[in-house]
Amino acid sequence: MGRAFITQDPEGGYPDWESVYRDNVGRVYALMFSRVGNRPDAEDLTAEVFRAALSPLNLSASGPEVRAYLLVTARTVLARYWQQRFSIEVTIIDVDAEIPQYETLEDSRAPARVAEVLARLPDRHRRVLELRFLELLSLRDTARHMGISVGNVKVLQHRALRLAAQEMEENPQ
Amino acid sequence: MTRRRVNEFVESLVRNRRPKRFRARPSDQAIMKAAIDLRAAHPDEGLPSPEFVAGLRDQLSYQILGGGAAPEPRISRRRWLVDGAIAASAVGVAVVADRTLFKGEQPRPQQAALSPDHGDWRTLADNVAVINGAANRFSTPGTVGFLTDDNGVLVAVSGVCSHQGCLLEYNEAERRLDCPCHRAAFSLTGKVLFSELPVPPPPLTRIAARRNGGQIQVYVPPT
Repeated sequence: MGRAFITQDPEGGYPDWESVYRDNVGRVYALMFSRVGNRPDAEDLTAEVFRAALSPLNLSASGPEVRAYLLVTARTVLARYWQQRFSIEVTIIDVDAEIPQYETLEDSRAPARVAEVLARLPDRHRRVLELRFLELLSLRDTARHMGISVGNVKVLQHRALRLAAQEMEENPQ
Repeated sequence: MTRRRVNEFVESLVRNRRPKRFRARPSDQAIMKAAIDLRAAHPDEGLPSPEFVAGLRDQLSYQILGGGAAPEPRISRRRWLVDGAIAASAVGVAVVADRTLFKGEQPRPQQAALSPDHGDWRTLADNVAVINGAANRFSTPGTVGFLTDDNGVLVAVSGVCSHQGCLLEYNEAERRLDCPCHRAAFSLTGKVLFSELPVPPPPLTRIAARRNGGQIQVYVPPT
């Protein structure tokens, strides 16, 4: 994630806000997408992080300090999003746990983990989630593929998500 | 029953749309999170679009440098009169044209950021002294301003009216900054809320503010 945005920034700080932006916009966006799961909100939250963080940013800070500051800002912005829109915090940013991946720009292990979770589900539950989330088929097309009604797809999908959630909870990363 | 809402939430993610706001129950959390994890695992996601990256860069450049954004296109008066004559019979269209004219003749003044030639971060207070949502007046030898903690985001604006320089007063009941000289008021972020002046004054100058350790600092000219 964020592979296209790597720039030269070893230990030293950033020369100006624009280099902070260039080096971090991909990372912050990828982080936000992994926490909200849709593009419009991930874009809005990314914008909010930079608007809040860049003006008061102290450019004499080191690169890692600047990035940690962006992560802390992202945590606040995400928490507010969930509270205001859905009353509960569905996802969070654990800054300490996130720093290593954010720093190294490693690919997220999330896809591999999702594949493991799917592999443990019963066939039809796995199939409905694959059709919806990997192939991005509509409810109608998913119904056609599986030879069931749209109503049944909804029910099956809900159960499959509940099972997947249980798997994820029982086998945390 | 929030199951329908949760299903709609999931549907929005699959279609890459903004999910609608609803009051989720704690028991919905696991399913919503599972849907997000599944969605985020899609190989095509995770990189921002180049349009978004460039657009946000321009916005930030305006915010930080107090300029650089493309001004709104102006419409010449002559051009409007021609268009207006054609549209005059349709009232609805004429109203739209009238607004367009207003925008063309009087571009909205834009908010500038305080950028002294030689600035310094000056400490104002410990974190605890700033109450969330309320404006705090501060003064340094070179500036006066109001600082607000908006859910963790610090916002500071000049406390001097952008019209004739009168010192603004914090109207706590309305959560705004009032000018004692003319009927004009600004939001705590410096936007003009209303004014009696024929041409509204520019927004208040923004002052950079930050938390540094346990302290709150603003970027102002040095003593």
